[in-house]
Amino acid sequence: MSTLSTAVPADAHTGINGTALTVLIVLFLIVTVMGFMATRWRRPANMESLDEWGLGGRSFGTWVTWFLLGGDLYTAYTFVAVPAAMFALGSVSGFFAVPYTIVLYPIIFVFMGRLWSVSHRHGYVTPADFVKGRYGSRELSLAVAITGFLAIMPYIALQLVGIQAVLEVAGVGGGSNWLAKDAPLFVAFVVLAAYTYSSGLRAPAIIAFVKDTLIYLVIIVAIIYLPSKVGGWDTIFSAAQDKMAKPNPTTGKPTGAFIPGSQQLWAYATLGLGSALALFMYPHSITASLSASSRNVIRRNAAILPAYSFILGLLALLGWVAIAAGTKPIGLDGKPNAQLVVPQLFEDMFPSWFAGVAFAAIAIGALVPAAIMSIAAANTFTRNVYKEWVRPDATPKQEAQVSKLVSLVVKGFALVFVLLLDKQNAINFQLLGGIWILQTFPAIVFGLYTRWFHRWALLAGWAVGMVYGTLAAYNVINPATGNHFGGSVANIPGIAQMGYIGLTAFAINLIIAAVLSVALNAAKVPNGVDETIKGDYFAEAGDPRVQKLDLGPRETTASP
Amino acid sequence: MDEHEVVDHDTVPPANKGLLAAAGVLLLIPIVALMWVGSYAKLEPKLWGFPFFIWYQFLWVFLCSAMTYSAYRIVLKARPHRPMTDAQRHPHRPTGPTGSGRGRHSQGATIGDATDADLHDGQPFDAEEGNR
Repeated sequence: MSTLSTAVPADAHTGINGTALTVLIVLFLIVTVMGFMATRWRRPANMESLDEWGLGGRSFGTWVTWFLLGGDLYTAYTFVAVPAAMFALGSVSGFFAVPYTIVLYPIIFVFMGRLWSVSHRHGYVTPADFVKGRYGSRELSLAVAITGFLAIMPYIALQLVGIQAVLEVAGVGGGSNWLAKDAPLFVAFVVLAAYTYSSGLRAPAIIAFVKDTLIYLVIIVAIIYLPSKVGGWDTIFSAAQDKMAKPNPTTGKPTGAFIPGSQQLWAYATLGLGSALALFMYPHSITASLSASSRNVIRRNAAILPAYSFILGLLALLGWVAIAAGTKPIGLDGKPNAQLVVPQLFEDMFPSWFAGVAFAAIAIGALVPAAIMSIAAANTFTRNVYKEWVRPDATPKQEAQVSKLVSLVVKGFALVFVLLLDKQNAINFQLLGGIWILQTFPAIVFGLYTRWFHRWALLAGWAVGMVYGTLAAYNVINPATGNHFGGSVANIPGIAQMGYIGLTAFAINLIIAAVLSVALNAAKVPNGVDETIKGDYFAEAGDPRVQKLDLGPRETTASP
Repeated sequence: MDEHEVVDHDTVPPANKGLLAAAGVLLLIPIVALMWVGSYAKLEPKLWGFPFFIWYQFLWVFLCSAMTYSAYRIVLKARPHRPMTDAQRHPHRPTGPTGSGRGRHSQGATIGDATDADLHDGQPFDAEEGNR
């Protein structure tokens, strides 16, 4: 999501909100117990394989998958950042999340079923597993794995930023004492790490029920209750329109966009489309999808997941409600921080017990994606780096052990990242991560349909897309602060329009992959061995898993 | 299953192309509608105080969901699932694909399946395919 920097009048009002904090802690304790109990849920005969620990036994039905994917994709950071962007910069930076999460579903409907089927047949756990099987290319697979790993790390860190935002508004995490400041976040993360370690993907699957129920409850209550308190929707929209039209004191340009202007149509569309293409390339999205029990579970979910998009749209509007309410998001350091806008709005407007429920919704909302992301990152490392390059003879049990350890390391790294570095770094990397992960789309999605693209052409396209996207993002200067990585929109070469950098890089990636494929195919350069057959892409739950005769130890879980 | 019916699983299962195309159109409509930002980046007509820009996109949440679900029903009808279990009854089928190299495999035979042994007995695999 967008980078935020905004100036709001300083007006410090802090202090610990006892009731809200108590409610938050109680709800947190409840999900902690659930997280540890999750091991017992549909207990497998043997937890010691990636299919069980990392994919929940590939057993989740339509509704569990709905909660899990909803809990996974609509993260705490999204819930903090989207309204913050609406509040600070308006609709182009914030509301694009709505078309993004609408067009997402027709897109994944088309290819996700195929990925599920081929993964079911061949026991793939990560997208890089598929790329390896399809192209027989360890290099391309490694490129996909590393991209996924790099893109997901800052995303995990940002979940912590979401928890921090809530804690800050609730009044904890301030002060100069290091221990008092960071201890709550530290405790939350140790707990998260512990139950992810023991229960694997089952933990977030169970907690997602609580998270999503709380989120729906809080947002529906907020969207019904708050507008009447600030004078109705007319007041809200005119307050937002006024704020966005007002010139920014540093740049002299309007603060933001109430409705995209004629120069912003491309930016709005490309941000939506590019983000939609990228989202299901992230390892955590694919992990949650592959944990579904059948191909049709995924396709049915494409039709029912938009319910979350509706909620996200309402949440985005809360950013504008905050404008009308005159919310002043001030951090504990006394500096304005737009990211605090929604928690602050809740604290100002709700009775403190319900503010506590709302805080819990966001904090628990961080735990589910953080758990799934760390599992997905760990699976990626284990399958596509450790097993592929370090220990090819690793048994399923060893794979699970390595994955569990890596999930701890990944979370520890995210914690250090957030505690020690300026969180702007995490936001910048997250922006880059979105651009990067989109560059794996051709290898993964086109690979589901055709082997016409050559593996080396795909690798070259990926490399150019990565470099171009990184440089273009670096060169975006924030007009207010003068810093690099000022946003994810830049001029599209050849068209006098601003557009999402990730999508431009993707187009360049595609052109290079296509041109080189023509050349390499014409030169008859070998294009690797494909271990899949056409029927694999249409397999359903009852179809047996392929036996890999010469691969040594293999997954031991039979098809459900 | 007919003992003599051999399905080559290295083919795309048969489908009703017309229905598939219809589903494709249903999936394409929301994408085109929402990417055409110029058609809805405006204030009027308002609905209950909401600018057109806002309520129109909310409307598409429901339309898109309905179209995706319709596409799902259509696709189920257009391409019925072709079970992949028959091959294990025909371990000696004359033609049909297997992988090669590292990916060598045969269709069928779950782990622990009674017919599993067939696949480990050194029986020669069909040599019909190389790199596809």
